[in-house]
Amino acid sequence: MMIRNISRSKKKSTITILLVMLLTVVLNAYIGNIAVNMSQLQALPDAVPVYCQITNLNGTRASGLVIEESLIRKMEDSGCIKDGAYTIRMMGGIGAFELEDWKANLNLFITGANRVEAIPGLGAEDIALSAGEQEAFFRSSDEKCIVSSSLMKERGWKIGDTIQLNLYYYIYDDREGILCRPLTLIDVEIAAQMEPVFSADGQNVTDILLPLKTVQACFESQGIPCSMDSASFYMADPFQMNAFKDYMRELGFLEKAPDAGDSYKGIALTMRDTIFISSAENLEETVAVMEAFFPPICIFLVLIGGAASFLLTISRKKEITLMRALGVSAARCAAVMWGEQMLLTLPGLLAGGGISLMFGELHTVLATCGVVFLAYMAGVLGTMCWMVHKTSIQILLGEE
Amino acid sequence: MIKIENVSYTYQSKYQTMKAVKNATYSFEPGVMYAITGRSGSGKSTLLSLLAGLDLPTSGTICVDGEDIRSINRDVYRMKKASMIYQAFHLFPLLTVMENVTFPMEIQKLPGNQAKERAASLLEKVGLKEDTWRKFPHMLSGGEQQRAAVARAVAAGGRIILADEPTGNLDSENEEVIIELLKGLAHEDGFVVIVVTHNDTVAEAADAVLKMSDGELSEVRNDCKK
Repeated sequence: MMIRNISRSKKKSTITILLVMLLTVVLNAYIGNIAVNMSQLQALPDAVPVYCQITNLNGTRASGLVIEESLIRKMEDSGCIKDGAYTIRMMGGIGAFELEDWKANLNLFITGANRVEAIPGLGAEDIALSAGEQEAFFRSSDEKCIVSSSLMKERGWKIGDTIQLNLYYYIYDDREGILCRPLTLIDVEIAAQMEPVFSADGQNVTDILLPLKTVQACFESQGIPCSMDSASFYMADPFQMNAFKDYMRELGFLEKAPDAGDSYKGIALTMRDTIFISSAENLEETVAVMEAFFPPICIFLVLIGGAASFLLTISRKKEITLMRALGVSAARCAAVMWGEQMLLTLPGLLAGGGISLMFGELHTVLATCGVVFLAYMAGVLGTMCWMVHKTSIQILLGEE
Repeated sequence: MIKIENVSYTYQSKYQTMKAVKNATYSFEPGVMYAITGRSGSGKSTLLSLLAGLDLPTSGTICVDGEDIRSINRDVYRMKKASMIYQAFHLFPLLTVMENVTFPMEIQKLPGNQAKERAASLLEKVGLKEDTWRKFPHMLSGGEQQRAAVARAVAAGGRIILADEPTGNLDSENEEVIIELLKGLAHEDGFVVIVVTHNDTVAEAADAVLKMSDGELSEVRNDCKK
């Protein structure tokens, strides 16, 4: 009977299908927008990572610092940072020489690093190793090195040669400035060559790269405390920024104080978090505003369902009355009329959902169709119950 | 079959209270066609709606086959025992004549084929030609629509027909046909037929005539008691 009635009220049936289709598409666009904003928010830490760097207190030095190794270890162990890039800068010469001959022999800039990004001015493409080989090199504690091509040429070295490095480490003293002390002699194999690295002001940054762990092992073997020269990293979870800042304060890091005097001590934490914070706040605000509209939109859908079904079935009020007069219970009357509307809603949902799939994801579209169906049909149910309840069979009597 | 005792019905609105039916007492027997006459507002339609179970009396009892109408499901009563015929026919506009007649059987879950067979025989009985069966009500004349309404009333399977001005919208030729159909239902099939009417022809054709006057029911004539 329901299908019979639907097929015989083609105009009204078509209007209902089109209305539901339109509602589905519009709601999908709305929910899809929320979903896009939420996924952007979730992807924000990768899209806009929060870069942190340890500097001296007034923020003028990002390298050439004394950063206690224990601090770095604690940060790494806490899991609140990722992609840490650390360097230990040293001076060095080739082979053994007396301390007093340092002027003639101590002429190489040597850097221990745990990743290529730790060395300013050096890119992965500047090293003649594949990405995997580079990663293996920097993570290893092998006695290998990467030498600048100009030095290779100057000294006539080849890949695979073993050279003896005489390492001198820096002591940064706030009173006496930078001092050098002998560390150890180490034989290292030349694993690859790299393009010469210069700083922005044209200074040679490094001639030879060693894996950080290799350098740390040298300090350890000599019983000399090791400190990092530079340290930078990314926050592991920028959404926990306040907890992160608290933790860094607990470790003893201070906020940059531009008025403080010059120092070599790496004690201040500089965070490039402005863009992340403003982006996250904007996205969160957008999502919150859009989500706040969701309950009213659902109520609106219920009202549309109620109003549309009322307008489309008001002309059939006499049919309801007649059904009641013929002994069909009020509940069954409402169920029949509701069922008709439900059967019309389904193709509308299918059509609207199909269109929405062109710009939305399947699970979002399905959820949206569910919301439209429930809200719309709730409105229809309300109207049908009201209409049946308000039906007075007596109006059939004495009517001409 | 239908026995009413001291039935009263009072309409109560915000501004007035009106006693539409006053202490009506009567017994309606099977095989008899009754006509209830009276002026507009005399309470005829109210009494008919009480007999149809559309409303309950304010006081008094209406017993159908010995059961008080208050104690039975009135939807089921209208579905299985009492059917109505209206002045304005009131067929389902979206259903064909055949579907209108099968509808009461469908809601009683009678199998489709049986319902169609029965509907066909009823439509033949009321004189509707087969070519009208697949037509929609608006395609039929008033007389044809009322015949279909009579067939639908009978199709429900009840033994009580309550008709409200069934000839009010018909010409004299169709009026006669409907009167004959109703009489036939009473005399040949043993229905209780109660017709509310202003029409003297209908009243004259009835076996018994009752009059409603200011809510009071009185018997004017009853040929069955002679």
